[in-house]
Amino acid sequence: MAEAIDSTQFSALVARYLASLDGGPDVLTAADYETMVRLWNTIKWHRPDRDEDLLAAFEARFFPHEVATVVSALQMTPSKGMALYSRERDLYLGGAPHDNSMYEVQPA
Amino acid sequence: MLEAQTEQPTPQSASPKASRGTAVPGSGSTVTPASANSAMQTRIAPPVTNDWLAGALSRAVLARASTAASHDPSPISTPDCGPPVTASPAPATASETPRTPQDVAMKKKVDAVTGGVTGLTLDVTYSVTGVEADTLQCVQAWWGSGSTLGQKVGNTSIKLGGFLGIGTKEYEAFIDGGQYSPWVTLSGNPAAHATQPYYLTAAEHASQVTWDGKNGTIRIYDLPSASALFEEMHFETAIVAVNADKKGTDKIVRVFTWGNSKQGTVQQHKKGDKIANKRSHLQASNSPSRTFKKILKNDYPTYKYK
Repeated sequence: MAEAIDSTQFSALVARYLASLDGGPDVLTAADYETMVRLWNTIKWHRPDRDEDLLAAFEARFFPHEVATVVSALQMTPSKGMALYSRERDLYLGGAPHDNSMYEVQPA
Repeated sequence: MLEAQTEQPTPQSASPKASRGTAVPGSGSTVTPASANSAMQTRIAPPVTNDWLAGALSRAVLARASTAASHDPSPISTPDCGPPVTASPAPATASETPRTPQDVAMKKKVDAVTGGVTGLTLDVTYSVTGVEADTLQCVQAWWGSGSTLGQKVGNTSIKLGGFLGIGTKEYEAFIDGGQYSPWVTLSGNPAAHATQPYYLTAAEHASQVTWDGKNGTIRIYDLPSASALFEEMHFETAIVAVNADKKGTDKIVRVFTWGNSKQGTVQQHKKGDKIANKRSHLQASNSPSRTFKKILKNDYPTYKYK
């Protein structure tokens, strides 16, 4: 079951992590990377229809540059369709759409 | 470089070899290649038989059907030495169905109806009609190089490119979702199918395939995020009619290639075939490449297909 989130919260998360990846003060934890994985998957499969520039900026910043860091932080391994998968968290980066690896973005 | 190594027969290349001036199988006729000066003349009066006419008609219509996804507006073309396809086909015998263009086209048709590759994401739906089979599945071969994973993937190693052994590149390879794929060996999951090289799991098959015994659709999607960790990766995806014609053997009804390089930032096919009037960035053909066959044979040596 995808975690529900409204579109304003979704954009706020994207903005926050984009700033973090661009050298913000946050020290990113595994939980942060897990959130970023969900954000990226959601943008790829169920792209919200607002804040396009922000979403595009996050996509460009996250992939491919952050993937090695995410793999290390979440102990991901290659999976079906050459997605990446964390067995410990049952979390996919890419692959087929998996509800547990995305958000369900609802209108604000 | 890689595309030059893998066989990617086009609908044109699947058409009669007669265009090269070879004997027409089963006809007893030899067709002379058209020269620049006699092209028109050769088109008008080739030495053909009714058998050859029927075969040429079938091939032309099937080739037309196979390129329907590209919405090529050009008319059906025949080889320089071939007759126009409007010629009457040979009369049907008692053991074969009538071979009108409509019959041939309806008998078997495999078309991509929507989707393609967008950026890194594959989402394509194929429609298959007139193929007697238990169901549809797909078999996906993968090969890639330039890994920064730190561990090898797959059980097959292939060399491609180069000349006389110089400049060849080595690729890791496997049947995706299969017994030697990282989905099994590194991520600890069971193979998508217990005994066969199929890509779709039972759950995916249930939600992505419709089939009534002869007609249906298959939707295939993927987002290969591990591309970020490879210099290049290539997929060749075969759509398979399972137990085709109840003969106990699967039949590959369409194959398409796709992939990327430079850590997933450059698509393998800049344009690819047109699907629903859009560039799909995937390229389809009627039969798999040698690379596909080698990977499949290595990972599933007992799998039978045509």
